[in-house]
Amino acid sequence: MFFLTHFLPGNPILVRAGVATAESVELIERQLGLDRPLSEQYFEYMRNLARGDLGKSWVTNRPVRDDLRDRLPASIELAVYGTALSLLLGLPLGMLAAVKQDTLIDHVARLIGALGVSTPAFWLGLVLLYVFFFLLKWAPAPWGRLSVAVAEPPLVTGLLTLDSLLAGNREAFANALGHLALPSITLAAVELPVVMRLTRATMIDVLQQDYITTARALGIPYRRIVLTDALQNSMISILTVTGLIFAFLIAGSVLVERVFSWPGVGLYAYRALTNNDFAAIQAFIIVTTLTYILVNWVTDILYGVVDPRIRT
Amino acid sequence: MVIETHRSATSKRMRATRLRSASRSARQYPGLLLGSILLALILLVAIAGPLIIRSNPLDTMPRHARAGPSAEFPFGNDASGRDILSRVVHAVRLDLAVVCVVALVATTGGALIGLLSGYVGGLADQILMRFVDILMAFPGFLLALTVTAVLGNNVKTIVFALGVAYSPVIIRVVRAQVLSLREAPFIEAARAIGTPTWEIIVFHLLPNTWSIVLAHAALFSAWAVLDIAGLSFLGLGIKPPTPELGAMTAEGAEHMVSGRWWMSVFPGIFIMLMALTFTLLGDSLRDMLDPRYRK
Repeated sequence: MFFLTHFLPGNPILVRAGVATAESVELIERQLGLDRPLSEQYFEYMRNLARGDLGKSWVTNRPVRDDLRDRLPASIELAVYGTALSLLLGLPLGMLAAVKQDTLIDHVARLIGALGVSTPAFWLGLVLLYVFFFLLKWAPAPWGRLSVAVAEPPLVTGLLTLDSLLAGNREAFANALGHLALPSITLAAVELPVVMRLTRATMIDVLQQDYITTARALGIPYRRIVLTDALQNSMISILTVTGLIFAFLIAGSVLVERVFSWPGVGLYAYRALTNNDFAAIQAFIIVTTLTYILVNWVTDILYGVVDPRIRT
Repeated sequence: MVIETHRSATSKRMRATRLRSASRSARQYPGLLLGSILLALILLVAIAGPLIIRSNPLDTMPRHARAGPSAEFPFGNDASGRDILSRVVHAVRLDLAVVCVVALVATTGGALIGLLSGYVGGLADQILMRFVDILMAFPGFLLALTVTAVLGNNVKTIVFALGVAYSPVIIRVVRAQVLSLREAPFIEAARAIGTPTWEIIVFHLLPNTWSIVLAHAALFSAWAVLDIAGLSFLGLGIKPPTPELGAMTAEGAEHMVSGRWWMSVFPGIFIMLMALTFTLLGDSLRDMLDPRYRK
């Protein structure tokens, strides 16, 4: 990835120097260490990375680590609300479709799922903006996390809804929630079909197991079987695919944050990509990939914890 | 004479059976029916559309700038007065072409690699699989985003980027299929009578992976529709003024908050329809091929 980003076609020095003379190009090249061989630059980058130094962004002119630290809470808050919303709706819908397999309810649920997977997140965000901001005037303007007139609550976690609650600031809480509403609905719409389709497929699998037949033969009400035994056992498989949902989340956040000008990591990555900001692009890729691998690794471990069958 | 009538009766019966089985599968897999109808419609738009709507998608008409849908321009005009209907029709054609190439490259490339890697095995297979693991560690869209940002955004890079992002999925699936087939009695028999390796691969293994490849081609197409549009929306895909659905949505984005909905809504609807088509086809193909869902 390091080598890839260094082959970016645009020349960042020209962006920086404006009208560049040969000397100023050389000067900046030396400042940034770009005149040295690529391998030397690579090892230097790796040394810095090991110390937690991700380099400096030349768009914001600040250390990338500080940029990411400031922007991460905004993305996390959005992701939490979006994921919660999608789980809240997706799990019951998927279960319902599985229990009523091949009935009208199932077909409708599957059509909703297919529609959801097919809807481009950025477009849905724009349509929501048109309806709720322009037509109904319910939603605040899509710029930032708080209205300008509202004072920011004291920084504790960086999650504005949580911070404002901790500070007892009702106005800021309502305002932050209002700003969160449309982006998180958009993000949820990206994740919901994934959750729903997965729940349905897993549930159908589980409902065909022998122990479900046994339970039914014992005369336990079907509703109770579904809500206890079947749900418990499908949760195991659903858990393992959290990594998949996370991948959708990352891709979705770049697009959704762009639409709503949400000051998170996704928008930062977008700016870095369009401005040839090597350090910032690399940092974004390293951070997201590491998180992605970590998420998958943790779910693998959890899988072993909750499912005794695969423990060896 | 007698034989003649008998034969025609049989063929009639066969046709009836086939028809009945077709209507049964349509009932059993409504997604397949809906997907096929949608695919026919989209093909119609892509092929016949530019012939029917003759106005140039690149013609700017300042007089009509930002005009809403009208009798003359049913989808309205964009900020520089271009005919959105004409642009959408041309964009569908372009997007569909790129999507098909991406799906073709990713599936054939991936399937061939998986086939060879699985059958040959050994060290090469191990190294290749580790490489696939590394690729799988990146979320697909992110990988494509970086590759197009690095190599420049044109159709060739997009095809390459998405091909690289998707193919690991099919490499794994095909390889798993080949690994289980490799030990099957009919392959063993073929090897025992001295069939050359390439013949085994082409005539015995390849036909057994068709169904997987087909289902994945539809799945990749659905992903490609959204990813190409997404990349172009961010300005990292196909660039304006070329009519492309995602780029058109981006051009209309700022007008959405001031109420000019037609600039983004129409291209978006077509992105959705195209993605829906391939999703429905891919899903029903998978269901038909996966014995767990078959009844």
